[in-house]
Amino acid sequence: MGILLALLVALSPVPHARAGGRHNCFTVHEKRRCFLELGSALLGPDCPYAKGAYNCAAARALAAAIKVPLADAELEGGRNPGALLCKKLAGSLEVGADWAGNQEAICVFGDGTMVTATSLWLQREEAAAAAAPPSAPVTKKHK
Amino acid sequence: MRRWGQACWILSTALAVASFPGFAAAEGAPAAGGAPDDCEGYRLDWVTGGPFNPEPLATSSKDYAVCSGEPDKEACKARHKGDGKQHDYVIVHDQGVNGTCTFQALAGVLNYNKSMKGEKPTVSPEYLASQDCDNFLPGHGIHDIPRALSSYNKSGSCTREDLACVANGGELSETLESAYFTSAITSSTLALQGFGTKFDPNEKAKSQICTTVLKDGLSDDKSLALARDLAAATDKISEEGKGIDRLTDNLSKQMAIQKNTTAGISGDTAKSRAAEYSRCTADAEFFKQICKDKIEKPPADKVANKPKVPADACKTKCPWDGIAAECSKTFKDKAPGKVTEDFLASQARKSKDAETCIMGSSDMGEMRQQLLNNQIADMEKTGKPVILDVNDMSRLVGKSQKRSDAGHAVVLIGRQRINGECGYWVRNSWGTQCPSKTNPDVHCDPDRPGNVWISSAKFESDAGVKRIFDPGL
Repeated sequence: MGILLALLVALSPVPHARAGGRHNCFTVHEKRRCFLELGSALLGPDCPYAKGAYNCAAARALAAAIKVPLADAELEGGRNPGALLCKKLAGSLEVGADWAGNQEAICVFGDGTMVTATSLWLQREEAAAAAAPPSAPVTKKHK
Repeated sequence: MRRWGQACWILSTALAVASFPGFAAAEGAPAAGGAPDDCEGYRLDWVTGGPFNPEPLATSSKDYAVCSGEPDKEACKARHKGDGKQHDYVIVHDQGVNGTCTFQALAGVLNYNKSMKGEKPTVSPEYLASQDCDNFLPGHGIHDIPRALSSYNKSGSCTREDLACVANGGELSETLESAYFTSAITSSTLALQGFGTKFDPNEKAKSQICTTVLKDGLSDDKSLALARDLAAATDKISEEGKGIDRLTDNLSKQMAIQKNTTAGISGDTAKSRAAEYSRCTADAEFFKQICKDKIEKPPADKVANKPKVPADACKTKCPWDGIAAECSKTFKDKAPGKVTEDFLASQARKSKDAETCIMGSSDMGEMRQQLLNNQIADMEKTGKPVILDVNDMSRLVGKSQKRSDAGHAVVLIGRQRINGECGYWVRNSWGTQCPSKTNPDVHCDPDRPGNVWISSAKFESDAGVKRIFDPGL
């Protein structure tokens, strides 16, 4: 619950959301969409915002991604973990392209809202990092 | 036992030898000057723009066999028989939806290297053109911002498709003015997308910029009627501060990059100086031309109110003359435009300092350290990419401490010292979004989405490099 609340806080206030630069704009389904930068997540522009929170399938998926099981075996071959999470969250993957043609995996949900697949993974990563004890810094060997 | 068949597909984009002054300005991160820096300047600059394979599911994979890195090429080819795309480079396994791009990326690198040697590419431009990702073929001196917005021709007018030229105050020829926007935006967009020399990466980058900027501007305007009149349309866009602002922003950025380039020349190592030379002179010449056009050929009335960049930058004296002078001073025995590959190669030789920045630790498992280091050195000298099969990409770029054994391939594109620490630039295939904003061992290049810097310590600790592909270039 705490995590969900934290996420809602992170996702909720409009001032926390900002339209990213050109790198956050992707052409998806032949339409250019500039995603909102919410912390580490990039949320599609079509997600309704009301009563202090974003309310759409994509936003809910961001919250749910934290709890979706993802076994090591599933990452075999270097699959994009965000893409796998998208599938598990009943999203469909589309290829978005930024201004320079760089591609991004976009997770599109039934209500038409979307989030970058990497965002889903980052939610998990950050939740895991927050839950884990502090780790020793990487030893700097090469200066 | 990991097999090549389990390795992820490889994202490779185009390759160019250049230094990287823009990052310092953008991030405020890299150290400049100071002690002998084995990483300084040693960085391959892969062109921005290019496909990332989202790799949704391995089940959709297709394999592209490129087998020169295999001891037994015939066996390799046999293993991949039937995919119709067997080539003698390196094994590439594609797990995603745009496998042709993977293949093409490597083919592009191959073509690039061959073309640099004056050899005929083995993959035809026609084939590459038939693919989705034909916009990242490599070339020298590629920047993410096009250095030439356009085809200002000798008479000072713009070529038909070059709306960027017009947007910057260039003169539109009478013929074009009457004809270009007689169709709907959609067809205009198609025309825009078609211009540029397809296999000239600079032109292609230019095309992308122009297409994006202008198409967006026109789309934002949402007025098909306006688009029937170019002058009115560009006026409208300008008034609304959309497309033109973006273009202006791009130009401003170009200039900022250029300034940084100039400032960094004296402190660079031989390699980066060589790269800078090429870049500096080329950009200086371009900007000089822009300035001259602005000064000597004032825009026609119809476009007189268009944005003042770069006109504002050269009100009285073209600042880029200084750049050219600096270039000449630094490389006084090399006239602009006379840089040869031999010269670049000679300047690109590593100094002894660079030897201290090599891969190697007890935690690197089966990695063939010497080979990898040799390949890194080779990469820096020739532009040959290093392709690695790594063990744990999510650990490498992420925060998770859990070690996975998820064979993956990344392209090592260079090394650079940031905040005093040596690190390696890689390109993964997961997309453009930065995998970490807080991890000090990971940086992302804001101007080249998808380029990720990983500290050498973390790389050696967590990458688990298992194999090194020889791209066979």
